[in-house]
Parts: sequence; structure tokens; C-alpha cells
Amino acid sequence: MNITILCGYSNSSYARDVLRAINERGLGRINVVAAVNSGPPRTVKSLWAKYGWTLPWAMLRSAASRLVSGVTAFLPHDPKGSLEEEVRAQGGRLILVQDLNGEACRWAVEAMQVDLMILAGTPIIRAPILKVPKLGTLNAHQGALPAYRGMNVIEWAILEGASPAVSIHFVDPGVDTGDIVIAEKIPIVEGDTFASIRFRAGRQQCEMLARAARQALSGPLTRRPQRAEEGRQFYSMHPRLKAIAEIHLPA
Amino acid sequence: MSIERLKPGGEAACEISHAAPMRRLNGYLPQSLRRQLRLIGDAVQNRLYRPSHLRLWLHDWLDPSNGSDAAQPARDCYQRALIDWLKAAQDAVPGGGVAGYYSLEDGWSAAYPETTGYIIVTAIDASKRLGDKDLAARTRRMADWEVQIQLPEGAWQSGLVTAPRIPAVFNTGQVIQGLLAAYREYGEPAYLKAAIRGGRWLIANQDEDGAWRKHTYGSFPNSYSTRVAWPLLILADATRDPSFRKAATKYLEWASGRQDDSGWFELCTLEADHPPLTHTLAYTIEGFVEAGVLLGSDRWIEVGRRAADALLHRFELRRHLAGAYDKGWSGDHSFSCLTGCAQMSQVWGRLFEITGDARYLNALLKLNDFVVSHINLTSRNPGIRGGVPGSHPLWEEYMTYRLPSWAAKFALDALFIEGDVFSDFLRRNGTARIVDRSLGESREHHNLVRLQQ
Repeated sequence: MNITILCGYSNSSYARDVLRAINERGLGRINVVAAVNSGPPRTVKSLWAKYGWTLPWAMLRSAASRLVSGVTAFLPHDPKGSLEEEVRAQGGRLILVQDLNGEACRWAVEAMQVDLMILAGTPIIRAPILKVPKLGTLNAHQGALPAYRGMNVIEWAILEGASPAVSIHFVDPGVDTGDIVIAEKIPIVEGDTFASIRFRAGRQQCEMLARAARQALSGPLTRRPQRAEEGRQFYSMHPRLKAIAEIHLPA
Repeated sequence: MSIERLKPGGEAACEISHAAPMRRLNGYLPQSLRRQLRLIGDAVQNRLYRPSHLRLWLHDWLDPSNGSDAAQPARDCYQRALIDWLKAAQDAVPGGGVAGYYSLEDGWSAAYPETTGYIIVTAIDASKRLGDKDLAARTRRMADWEVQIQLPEGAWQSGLVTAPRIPAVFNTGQVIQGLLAAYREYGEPAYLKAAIRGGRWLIANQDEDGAWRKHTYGSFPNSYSTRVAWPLLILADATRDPSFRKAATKYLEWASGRQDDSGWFELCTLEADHPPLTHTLAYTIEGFVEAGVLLGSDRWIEVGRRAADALLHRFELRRHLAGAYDKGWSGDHSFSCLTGCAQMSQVWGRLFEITGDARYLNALLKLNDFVVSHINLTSRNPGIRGGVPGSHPLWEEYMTYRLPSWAAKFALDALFIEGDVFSDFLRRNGTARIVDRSLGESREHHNLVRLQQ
């Protein structure tokens, strides 16, 4: 079976972790299609629009970060390795495209005759790309579906007294509205912060995606359909609400 | 009224002073240069050589992030500043009414009957919350003034008090609301009597299908007069006269027929060839929600909520509420209508109170951050300090280079409701945690139960 990962950045550590989790299950060569990093704004107008009066400070930070990255290039690599290294190590291909919804991406996915596509941190992918893979496209969402769609759903779930969860679902043209494949809760432990829960959820979703891919290899996945009108879509949480949600975490 | 969108300055100014040669010259200039020249013309006309005006202009010009994520002073600083601005707006005009706006070009305008009407409601609320006796006395002066200027037929006039005295449906509705609030607070029968006369005039001018077609802004029926139906329902409660309720319900029926499947309202605009401003959309939504609450009818609340949800979704995705929304909720993001923003904050606050859905509170907090980031707290100019510009940026479409009194009123309402609902939310969430602990439940068990439910 031909599995391809789609990711938003060519150096995505999340895509690398998903790839590694799938490889550990020995599912054969996996290809990765990644969007080329667009980089920071270049013209004076766009820089001004982004930074305003903080532009000198932003330029100083950028220069410092370039200096640091220049120095670190001589140091030993990240022990986890880059996405590119991971792809090469298992004999797959890393294909870079300008736009994940563009013609080049569709052509690449079609040419590779993809059976199952996995999204690993992408913008919203449009229908022309989604309909190419024979078995469909999987995505991991850090929230229990259909109750918690959208953004910051770990925080929203905790604010509402529910357990945060991870759901693996098929992707359809809606936002987090495709059929659910697996859903698991993320345990909360004492001293947890949103960052630590999100970190744990990240690891768990890589595992769950790999498990779903393996299941897809052995037979059709169980699909629990969700209707677009059930559940709610959440948006980025205001810091004042986040502070309240934090109170709900066990000290 | 709050529905003026005349542009002072700009093209009109060029036409008057240098008409023909300028027009001829304009034809040869590239569009970007023409725009720059117009901005310079505006700058002179709006007296940007005055430090307080220049500072306000620079704030909008230099503020690429819209200021919404900058560290902000406490909300009560803004509440106080808004109240002081409204007091200054009242002091700027004779008689007891509140000036319509502060214009960078002309300074304070004349008093505005319509907005003075609904400012009474906010000012009474503010005087009680803050124990401000001076403000309480001012609200009486506002109400007395409204009674004095009532037209013989029972209506109130359109536009500023200095404009020709033409009766107007929308304006009459807003004054009725203010007078009823003053009657409830002070028990003065003259206020109720004037409100009843206004209400009867509204009924007399209503068409059979419920719409108002005569005495409307732009001479066409509109769907934002739900904010007239709402005061009529308050009047029905105050007088126990069912005819007011009947008229209000008839209009709500008519206006709900103007809503399409997406929740957008047609005829919600001030000018037939312009898309509805967020300001008028918010009027319509607010009218439906408040009428639904008064009538105990989920149906009207749902009509309002459908549109409020559509705006919330768009606001959250773009992180910006457009100044106007056309059919299909296609937004004009070239500007923000700050009045409409404050109104939508308030509507979401009300919907949070009604439904308990924290997403409304979340959006309210974000939008209030945005609105207050455009309130100047330090200017020496009382027309600028504590005022809310009509548009962001200042030179854009709605109330160009002006700070309208209704923007200050709605911003104050939005901050009050934020304070109420947020402290209530905090109390409920704090309590929930204590209850969990006192029951000795493990959190995981509690969550499991919630998930199973």
C-alpha cells in the first residue's frame, strides 16, 4: 500500500514523528509531500505591515537567530534527525511543492498513486487533492469529535470540565467533520500544564495515526460518521479564558 | 443619526475649492498618487495640524496590528473615560441633549435626539454602577430635553436637532427607549406620556404587513428597525397596552422574512447601493434577541443568533470584524466599524447570558480588546479623550474623521456586559472546582461521567 504524508513545512518535526511511528510498524516506504517554507516578508512595506515600530527589534532578533543557526550548523545534529533524513533513511521520497492545494501537489499525489494520505500539520486541504487517495485521507485532531472541533480544543475541553482527547478521522471538505476512526482520551496528571498535555497529545496522535495506517493495510477502517451540524467549532481562546481554564488543571 | 455615513472632506472638498482644474489634473495622475493627494487634502481639512488630532491619526496610521494584542489598562479606566466623554458631549451643546459627534473638522456637532435617547439608558445604568450622582442628574436633563423637542404628532425628528424637523421612525423608537428607562428610574409621568405618544405615532405609520415605509432613512423599508420593535415591547410592558406588542410582533414577522438561509439580512443597509454596515446588522440582531427575551420567544432569539453566529465565525477566522457585510457574508475588511464592533460585543455578551456558551464570551473579550485599543485615554482634547472613532482607520467609510456619541454609548454597554458576564463566569467556574473537591471525586472520574453524558 502506498502511504503519503502531507505536511506544511519541509522541516516539520511533527511529520517526522508521524513518519517514524509508521516506520516502526514496518509499513513499507512512505513518501512525504511538503510545502516549501515561504520565509519571512521581504519588502519594506510587508515588513512594516508585520512589525510596525517593533521592526528594528525584529531585525535585531532575526540577525541574532541567523548568527546562532550559523554557529549551530557546526555542532552535532538534532539527535532526532530531520524530516529529510528520516524520509531518506526509509527509502522514501521528499517532494517539495509551493502550495499543497496547487496543481503540482495534485499531480505529485496522482503520479504516486497514493492509497492513503496522512495530514501532518497542513492548512485546509481542498477537495481536488482529497479525492485522489483511493482509501482516503487521515488526520489527527487534538479534541474529542464531534464535540470539540477547531482550535485550542484541549483548553476548551478542560474549561468545560471534559477530558482532552485525540481523534483520528477521515478528512472531508469541512473542518474536522469527517468520519471518526479512533478516539482516545489524554490522561491528565498532577502538575500538568497546557504545554505538557499538548506534548503528550502530540506523541499519542503519532501513535494513533500509525495504528490507523496499519489497520487500513489489513482491511477497511471502522468509520463512525459525524454530521456537520452536531458538535461545535471552537476558536483560539482568549488569554483571560485560558487563565480560568488553567485553574481546572490539577495542581 | 447613527446612520450617517457622509464623508467630510475627501473628494467633495476638492470639488468645491479647485473644481475644474483639479478634476482635469486628477485625470492625468496615477491612482495611488490621487489617493495620497486626497489624504493630504483630508489632513488639512480635518485640522491634523492640531496635536490631539494628529496623534489620533498617527495612532491609526502607525498601528499595523490594530492594537488588539497590546497591553491595555484596566477596563474601568476606559469606562470612566467613556463616561467623561459623554459628559463633555452633553456640555458641548445647549439644552440637555448629547452632541451627535466630535468632528476633527468642525469640533462638536449639535445635539442628536435619537442617540441622546438611547444614551439615557446607558447613562442611567452607568450612574447606578459607579454611584455617579452627576451623571444621574444629567440623564434627567437628557430626558427632559427629549420631551421638550418632541414633534406635535408624537414622533422625534431625524438627524441633528438643527436639521429640518422631519419625523423619523427609527429615531422615535430610540427616544422611546430612553424615556422609558428614565420613567422607570425617576417615575416622572411626562416621560411615559411622551413615550406613549411616540408609540402611537409609530403604530399609525406602520404598514399592514408590519413594515415601516414612510419616515425611514433613505425612504425605503429596513430590517434594522427591530431596534424599534424592542422599545415598543418595553412600552407594551410599561402600559399593558397590547397594541404596542402587536405592532412590534408584526414588524418582527416582516423583518424575519428579510433573513436568508445564511442568516444575513437584506434591507439592512443605510443606502440602497451599499452593503449593510456591521452597525446596522448589529441593530437588527440586537433587536431580535432583546425582543425574543421580552416575549419569552426562542424563535426571535434564534433569528438573531443565526446572524450573530455567522458574524462570530467570520470574526474568529479572520480575527477581524469587517466594516460591512454583503450578501453571503462577504466582508469589506478595508475598515472596521467600531460602533458595530462594540454592538456585536454586547450582543455576544447577551447570547452568553442566554445560552451559557463560552465561545460568545471568548469573542466578546477579543472584540472589546480591539475596541478599547482605539480609545485615547490621555489627550488633552475632551473631544478625543475617551471617544471612539467611527471607523478604524479614522479616514475610512463610516463617520469619517468623527467620533460619534453612539460609539461611546455602545462601547460602554459592551464593557459593562463584559464585566458582568466575566465575573459571573469566574464565580461559576471557581465554585465548580470547590464542589469537585468537597465531593472528593477524582477529576478523571468526573470527566468520564461528563463524557458519557
